[in-house]
Amino acid sequence: ACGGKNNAGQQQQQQQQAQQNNQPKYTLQLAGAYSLNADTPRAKATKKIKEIIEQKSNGNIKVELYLDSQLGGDRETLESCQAGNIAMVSSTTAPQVNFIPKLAIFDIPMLFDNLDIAKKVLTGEFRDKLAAEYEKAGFKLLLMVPISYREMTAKKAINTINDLKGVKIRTMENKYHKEFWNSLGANATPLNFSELYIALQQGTVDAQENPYDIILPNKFYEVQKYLIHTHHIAFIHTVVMNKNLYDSMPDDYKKVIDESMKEVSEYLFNESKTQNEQMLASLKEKGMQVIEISQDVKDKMKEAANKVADMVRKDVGNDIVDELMKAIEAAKK
Amino acid sequence: MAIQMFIILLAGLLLSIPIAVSLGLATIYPGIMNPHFAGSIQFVIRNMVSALDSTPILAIPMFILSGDIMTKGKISEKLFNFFAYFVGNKTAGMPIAAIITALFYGAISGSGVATTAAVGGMAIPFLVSLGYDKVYCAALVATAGGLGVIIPPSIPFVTYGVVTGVSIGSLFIAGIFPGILIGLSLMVYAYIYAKRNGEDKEKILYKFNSLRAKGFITVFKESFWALLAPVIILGGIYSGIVTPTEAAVISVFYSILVCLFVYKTLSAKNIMDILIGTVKSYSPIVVLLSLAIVFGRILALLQAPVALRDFIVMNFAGNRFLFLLVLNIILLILGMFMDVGPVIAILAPMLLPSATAIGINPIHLGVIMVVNLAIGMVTPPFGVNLFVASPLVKEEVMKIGTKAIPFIISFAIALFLITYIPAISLILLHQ
Amino acid sequence: MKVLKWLDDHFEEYILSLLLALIACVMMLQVIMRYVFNSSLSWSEELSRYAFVWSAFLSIGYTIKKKTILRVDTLVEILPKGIKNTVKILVSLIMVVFFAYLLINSIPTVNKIFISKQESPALGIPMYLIYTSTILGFSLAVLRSAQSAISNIKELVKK
Ligand code: NA
Ligand code: NA
Repeated sequence: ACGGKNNAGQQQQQQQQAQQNNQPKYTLQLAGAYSLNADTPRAKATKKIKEIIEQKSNGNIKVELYLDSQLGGDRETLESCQAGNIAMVSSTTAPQVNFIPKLAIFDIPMLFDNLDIAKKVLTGEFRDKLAAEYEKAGFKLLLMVPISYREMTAKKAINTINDLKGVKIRTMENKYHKEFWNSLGANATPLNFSELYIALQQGTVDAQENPYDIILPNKFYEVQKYLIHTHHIAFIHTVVMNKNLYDSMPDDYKKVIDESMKEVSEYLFNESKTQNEQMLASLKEKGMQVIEISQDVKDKMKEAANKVADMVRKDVGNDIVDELMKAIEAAKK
Repeated sequence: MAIQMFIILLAGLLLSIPIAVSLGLATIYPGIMNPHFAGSIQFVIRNMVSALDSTPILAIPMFILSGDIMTKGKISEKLFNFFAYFVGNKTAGMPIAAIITALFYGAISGSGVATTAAVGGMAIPFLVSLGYDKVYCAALVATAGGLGVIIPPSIPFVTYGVVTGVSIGSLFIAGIFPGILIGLSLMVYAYIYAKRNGEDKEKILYKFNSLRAKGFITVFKESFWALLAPVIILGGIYSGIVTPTEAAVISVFYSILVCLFVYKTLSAKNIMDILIGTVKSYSPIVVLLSLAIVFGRILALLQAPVALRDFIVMNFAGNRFLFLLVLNIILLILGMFMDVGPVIAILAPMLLPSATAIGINPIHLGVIMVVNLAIGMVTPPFGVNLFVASPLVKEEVMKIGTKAIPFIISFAIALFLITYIPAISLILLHQ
Repeated sequence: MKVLKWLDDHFEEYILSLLLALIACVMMLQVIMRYVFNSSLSWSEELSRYAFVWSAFLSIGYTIKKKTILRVDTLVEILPKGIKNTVKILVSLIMVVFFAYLLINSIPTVNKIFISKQESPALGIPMYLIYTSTILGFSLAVLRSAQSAISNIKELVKK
């Protein structure tokens, strides 16, 4: 059944002959669980990574994209990256917490007032500290960009903190997220993402929380009426690489990868900014009603966030949390 | 390399190497041949575990368990008694009732295997008791089980919607008529089979007359709690109390309670035996399912789906009739050897642009692909529904697969109509 | 000896049955907690999934032992008896080698995950505990395939 150019047998030969011919010297797989075909900033940035690296390396580095969970979900592909089977994985920080516990700091809600502050924090000194944590787990941190916020959607309007009472909101399997929503009076319900659409449709859960670029392609607007601008957790997109593989590459190739990622970071951040507006507009167009949260709700959310922060401190130590807070204060200035 | 994998799989199957082992050998082959290949043996082992680390898959053992309880506790018998009271004396009345049950269960579960497990556990023992050949019953249920992914809700439709950006709600609606059409075409064959092969009229009429002698009120009273089972399960899902996966476990506990305390057909000490029986039925399936997923991932790493896409697009993209025909044939062939679920996830977004370019509606394309997937579940030698049905009747996979061929043909006729008459899928959406 | 015989006959069966019962009870508890007590458990889904992973790998040996492992016998059944028996022995030897190969490779696989200290999202269980199911599962599969190979050979010698 395989007639095309990318015949598997040929591909294997390519690798063997790589040294003699002008064939790529490195073939890097890049796996991700999000959709490559959706018109989202993440999808565009991912295509750009391939394009820029291949061009800058004069074809010496080939990047193969495996998105849409072709090689499995985030946890599975991160595991394969750590073990050295998959070269690169593109995911948010959330699934990486299982490998790098200190990343739990980003599960503290209400950290960043806007994405510019987040960007400053994640490009400054603090980022180097994080990169060191990634290295301890065997990952090279190549890209780290805050692209949007997790927002709440619900089938009923949430205007006051009372409206949240008893609302069954689907969360990830994450104890911090669960604590946050429960202490706001909601009923956090961890559920498998693959069942979420059906669960929202049938009312097993009333609400969920995800950024625009998940709400839109997964069509949650078909089953949710309200979009509540909670901005509760920044959605931080990353690309990581197997550290041993990165270290084993010649310096000029490392430079190609680093520079390409830097370029894509800028692109992803700017593209997200403009496209977040567009995505919001099209969610409205699809019939979602947007609710801006009141100061009172915001204050209650900050209170709940403080509780989560204490939990995180207990789990990963005060140092990293304090440093993060310091970096945020500095970035605000 | 992908072709070599298929050859190893086929050779293994022919040699009567267990299907899971044949699939496993094919899956580890590229990693052994090329030590630099990303899909190494360790990749395979890790993915065998993580492929099973999924919530919807839990519905399979749960539906088999509830089916076993319903059978041993005589709930399914009472449920079918109720149907038999009305249609038991008609030609193929009870096999058709089983297909209707599959349509109903299709509206509960989102997967083909869960539907096969649930309906098979209830219907097969009953049909066999009426004198129908058990291999025929298994073939019927395995084919009808495919309705689980066509009638909404459906996990493959969700997958298709997510990877292509097509409305999942619309896909669900588009699946309703094709599902009913397929159900009807299966009923037609069940009728032809009964006409041609005859039925054990003596057993059937004995059963029918004894039910009629009891009178409607008694039959209804006896079957009341059994009839309530699907009501509770469907109600549980549609009122949003449970997810489709959790519905399976609700049916387990509902049937245990009814059998222990209402019908008193089971006692606590039967439960261990039922558990062991269920373990016997589902244990042959699980590792196979996980390997089917890993097999798909290795093929993806070999870029086989890309090559396939290029092949279709380069040769057939211009002609709508040919494009759909070739797409169907390729999906059917792939379906013979593997679980097409992952292939849909990979192929659909790549084929969509060329399909829409020649005027094929994306929702229609989704329906076509999912119907193909449903057929693939029952085509021998590799069909997940066959694997579920086989232990239920303790018969060989190929035997059931062979017996299923006329059902598959009816299914394929329905697929042909669905493919070339887009309105069947789209009419409910144009209102 | 009696204990060994009992274990040989029922070890997998009982563990698998208990895991099945555990999955059912935990999932039911989750529904009750969410619907009746309006508070969801975060660990239930994970626990049932991991119990299922364990039962999946334990079930390989069980299906070999009980001869319920699925295969396509059509072609081999029509072969003459002598050849058929040879094929049977060959197949069981292939199975021994296959599962032994998986077993040997599952040890470093699990070790890597052990070193990585990866934890599960909800329960915080070290992930290597879930992956250890492969080592035990493949060991039992090797054992059961070897048993069936020996019994196939004995059968051939007897005739
Ligand atoms: Na369904
Ligand atoms: Na098939």
